[in-house]
Amino acid sequence: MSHPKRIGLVAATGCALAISASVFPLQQHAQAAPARTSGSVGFLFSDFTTSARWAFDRDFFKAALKKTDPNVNVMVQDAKNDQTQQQNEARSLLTSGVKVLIDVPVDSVQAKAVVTAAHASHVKVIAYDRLIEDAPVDAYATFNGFQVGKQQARYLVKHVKAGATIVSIAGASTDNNAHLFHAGAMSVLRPLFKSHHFKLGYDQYTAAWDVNKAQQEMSAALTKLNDKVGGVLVANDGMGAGVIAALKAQHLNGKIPVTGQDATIAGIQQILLGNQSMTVYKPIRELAAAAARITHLFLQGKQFHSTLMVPNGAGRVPSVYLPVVTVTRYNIKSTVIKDHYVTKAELCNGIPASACKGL
Amino acid sequence: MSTTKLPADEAPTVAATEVPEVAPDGSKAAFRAPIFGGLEIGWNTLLTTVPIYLGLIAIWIYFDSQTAGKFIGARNLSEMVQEFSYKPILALGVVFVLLLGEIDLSLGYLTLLAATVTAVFSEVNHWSAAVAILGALVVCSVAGLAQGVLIAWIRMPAFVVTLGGFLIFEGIALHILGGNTINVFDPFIGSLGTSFLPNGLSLIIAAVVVALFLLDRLLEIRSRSRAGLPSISMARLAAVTVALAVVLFGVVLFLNSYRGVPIVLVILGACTLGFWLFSTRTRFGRHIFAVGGNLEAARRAGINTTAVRWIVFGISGLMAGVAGVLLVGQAQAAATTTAGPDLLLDVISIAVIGGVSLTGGKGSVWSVLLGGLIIASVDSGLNLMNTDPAYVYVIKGSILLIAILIDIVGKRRGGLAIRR
Repeated sequence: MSHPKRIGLVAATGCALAISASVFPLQQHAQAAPARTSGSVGFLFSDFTTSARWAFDRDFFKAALKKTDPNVNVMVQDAKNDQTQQQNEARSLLTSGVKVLIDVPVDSVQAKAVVTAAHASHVKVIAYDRLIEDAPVDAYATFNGFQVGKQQARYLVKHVKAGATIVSIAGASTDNNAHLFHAGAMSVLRPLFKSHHFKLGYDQYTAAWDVNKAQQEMSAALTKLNDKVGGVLVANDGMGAGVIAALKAQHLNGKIPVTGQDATIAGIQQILLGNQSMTVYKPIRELAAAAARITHLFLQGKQFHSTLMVPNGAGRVPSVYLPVVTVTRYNIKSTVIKDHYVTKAELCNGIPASACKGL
Repeated sequence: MSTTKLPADEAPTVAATEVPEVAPDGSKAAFRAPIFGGLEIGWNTLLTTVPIYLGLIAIWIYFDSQTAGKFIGARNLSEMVQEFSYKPILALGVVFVLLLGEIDLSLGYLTLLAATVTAVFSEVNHWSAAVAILGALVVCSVAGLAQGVLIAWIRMPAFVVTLGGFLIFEGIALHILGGNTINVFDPFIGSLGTSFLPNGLSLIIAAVVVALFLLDRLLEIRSRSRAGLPSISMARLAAVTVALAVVLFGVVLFLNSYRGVPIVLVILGACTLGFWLFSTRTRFGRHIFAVGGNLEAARRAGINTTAVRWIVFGISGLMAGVAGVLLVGQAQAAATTTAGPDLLLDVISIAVIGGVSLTGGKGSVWSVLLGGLIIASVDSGLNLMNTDPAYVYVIKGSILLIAILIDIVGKRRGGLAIRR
């Protein structure tokens, strides 16, 4: 897929979002009476390795679906970051007779084949967390990725001095979400670059969201810009660890705002230590519940309708977008700890007790 | 069996498919090869390595012109050394595996496993840095030796065994991490990847290295003249010593103008020197060349080829352990993205660009410095230019192919038979 097309798509998604804001077309179905459904559904994960979140997605989805469809078995597959493997897994699941496929694609474009195969067997496909492009996918449940980038950028706008230079360390360019986060952030920042309120000093996508590569990129950026950096737009907490290590080498850690995403234990620890400024928390339980509700509809042979229609190159996909939450040191307790997403004991392991005060 | 003698001005890099200068009964040969012989470059070696040095200079000039003179700055080169030295360190283990004509596919994920267990030992078990590091090194050595048992004793193909290892080590590391990043707060582990030697100490070490080199060569000249053998002239020795001093002090003074010599560079230098002494000065080390050059001949000469092959995979595992610890020190964190197959391809490229033959028997541990410098320069330069990561793969692949092309063409021009 050509790059400009993808950018256009990301921009179009952003527009759709701006128009429809956050819509919850699913709430009316929440109390639907349990029907006697049986059989199995397939959940195709891209991986369980690049983020700890996927295990939560899996468990929350199973729990949510059990409430409405207790006799439906959830068959989980791990593509280990290989889209071709996921295609084979989809084929096996379809052969075994699953009634619905929920798919976290490795590659948003190549995953088209999963949809084609499923539709050939009259099975509906829900794109989960990442959009599947150029294919008539039946539903899309995700966090508002555009909003993730926007919240990261807004944090920088609030906390970085005028005239300063911004560095952007973006995610893997194979991941549609990495483009969404980037586009969301740039929708806020680009006008400010144009008006010379900020300068964009360095902007790099990072293969595989690699922590050490992010570190190498950040130190190259600091060298290139003679350390004159006012804020770092980092797409997720995992890469944040590497960026912070590069800042430490120049004794800049804690002195300039660094963003993040995923509310990981490691990321929140860096917030408590003052090295990272914020992370974007995505309440996974709610996303899993939304996907389970759509699955429930499909199991009953119903359609999923939404006022939020996201263009994906092959038409518009009825979608549900879950809101995201900015977490700083001031609301850790009232968000991620309250939701049991992380525990205080996990956060305080290894860091000085003084950093852990107030939790 | 007669002993084979190396010419005094010939580096052992082009050494010996023959069984080297130790008799199978273990009696010491009369000839004493120079400890620092590998630093001297014979004409044949020159013919094949000079184009690669020229390539390196071209790469540096290109990046420097594209980055407004930032690339060849003390800061950038110091950071380059700091961030990429773990690759040549890992490549040291690969050199021995390649010398046998074998391959170790498991290294990328064994390095990830090393990083993972270092982080877990330090942050979850709260063990001291020394114990955590030692633990990681032991785990990786044992993993390497375990693969070695299957390869050397059971005679399973290394390709298959280490492919199995590749998957198993990946699985174990992923299971332990479960997708999490572990922050490592231990100051000692962090300092391994981020600290510098005091300026004065670096100069003292450089001076000691030059002095030892000179002493070694003088002793060697004396022993050769006593045995009635010709040796190099004093003038030539002086020239070589001065050249070594200029290079060493040049590097140290250049790096001192930023923050000093990164500790990882000292580790790389010490490991390279240590493995060079091991591979050329010890009986066991020379057996590696012999086994790689001609397994059957080595076996008939009474060499325990099984033990050699076994230990080499242990060394490979050990170096994955060292690289993993250094990676954790660098990022002060371990994550599932810390290391993987990309790293494996980079380290094999480093060894091959440096002149190690993939078919065994030929190569030197020093090659990792040249190969490592090229790979690191490309990575660092493209980062500094803010280049799309997609190009990085193409460029690295092209450099690998060009390096091998130069190697092969150079040897043909030089009238040397290409060794198997």
